Amino acid sequence: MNDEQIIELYFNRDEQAINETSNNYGSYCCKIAYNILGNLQDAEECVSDALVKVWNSIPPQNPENLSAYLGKIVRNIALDKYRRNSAEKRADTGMALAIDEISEILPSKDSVEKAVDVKELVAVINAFLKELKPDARKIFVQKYWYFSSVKEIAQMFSLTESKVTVTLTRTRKKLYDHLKKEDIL
Amino acid sequence: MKKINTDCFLEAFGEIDNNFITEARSQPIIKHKKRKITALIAAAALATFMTVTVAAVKFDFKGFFVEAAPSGEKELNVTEEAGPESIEKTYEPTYVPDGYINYNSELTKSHNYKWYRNGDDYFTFGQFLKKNYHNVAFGNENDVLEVFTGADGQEYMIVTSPEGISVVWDNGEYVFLVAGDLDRETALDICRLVEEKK
Repeated sequence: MNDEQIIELYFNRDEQAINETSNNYGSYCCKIAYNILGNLQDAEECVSDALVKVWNSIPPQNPENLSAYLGKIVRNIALDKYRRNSAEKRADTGMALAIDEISEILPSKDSVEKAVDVKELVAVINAFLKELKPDARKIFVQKYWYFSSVKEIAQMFSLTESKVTVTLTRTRKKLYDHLKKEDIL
Repeated sequence: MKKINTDCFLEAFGEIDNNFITEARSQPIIKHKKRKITALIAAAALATFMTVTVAAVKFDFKGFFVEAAPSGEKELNVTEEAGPESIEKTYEPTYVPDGYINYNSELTKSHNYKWYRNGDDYFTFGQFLKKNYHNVAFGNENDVLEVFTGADGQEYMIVTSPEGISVVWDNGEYVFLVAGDLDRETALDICRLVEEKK
């Protein structure tokens, strides 16, 4: 069943919509949540919560891109859960590694730095991504949106790990320059 | 307004354009180029390639050729592009080593991916259209190439590198890949037992 048909089921309030979404995107969502939380049970809970949220939001929402819409929801739910678990020992997750690396160019969480409007930052990041070559962009988005590991990205795109690592390092440097130029840093 | 820091960045990155999210979703890095390359040019590319790989590896893998990219990397391409225009039949491994679970899959008109994980070990199964198969992971200086012919006559190209093993083959319709943290025999067992999904 394609996305249009699934969304039609949501609009008809047919609960089969949840099953079809889960069939098509369950593993995709679980991977996003797992990369953030590092725990399969927690990841599966996030996916269940996301499916409920989608059920409650369509309609009135009518997403053009169901996978991205769903992915954003599950990513946000998993990030919230990760923050709530902050007092507990955090797993060595894909996201934890991504934070370590990106913190090379960004101020730490506790530092007093410039304030920025998140919407403005999203626009600046979108402009940055648009300027990247597609290969570098895919790798960067896999790292910081999906929180995939270097090893996973290398296998996914049939590249060597060293190629992925070098591409990420160069792209982070470009991002730093872009954020400076846009007066974000 | 929020302080610019890692949390704020990750929050903002979560809201990037949907097209970037979809684009990055596991599409192989493929250069769609017309490959009207003569056998002579292909042979020259192979000869160049052999000089930088481990000696005594004979590269006579039917249906594929290797060429040097401007970046200096070696690329594996498919000589014959004739084949289905979209993934009409899907294949999958019917054998997976103990402990591996299929944690992610993706099926599009041009590729069929399945990812397997066992703790920190991974392997990937891929099925691609011949017309757009292109792999830049092959042919770096530390790679060792081997062509293996199975009992049924099927040829497999095996590339062993410091990062793991990759096996590529062509069943006449599609190109297949098994790559990951596997030993040679296990990788070949997986390849041999890839079957059409009914």
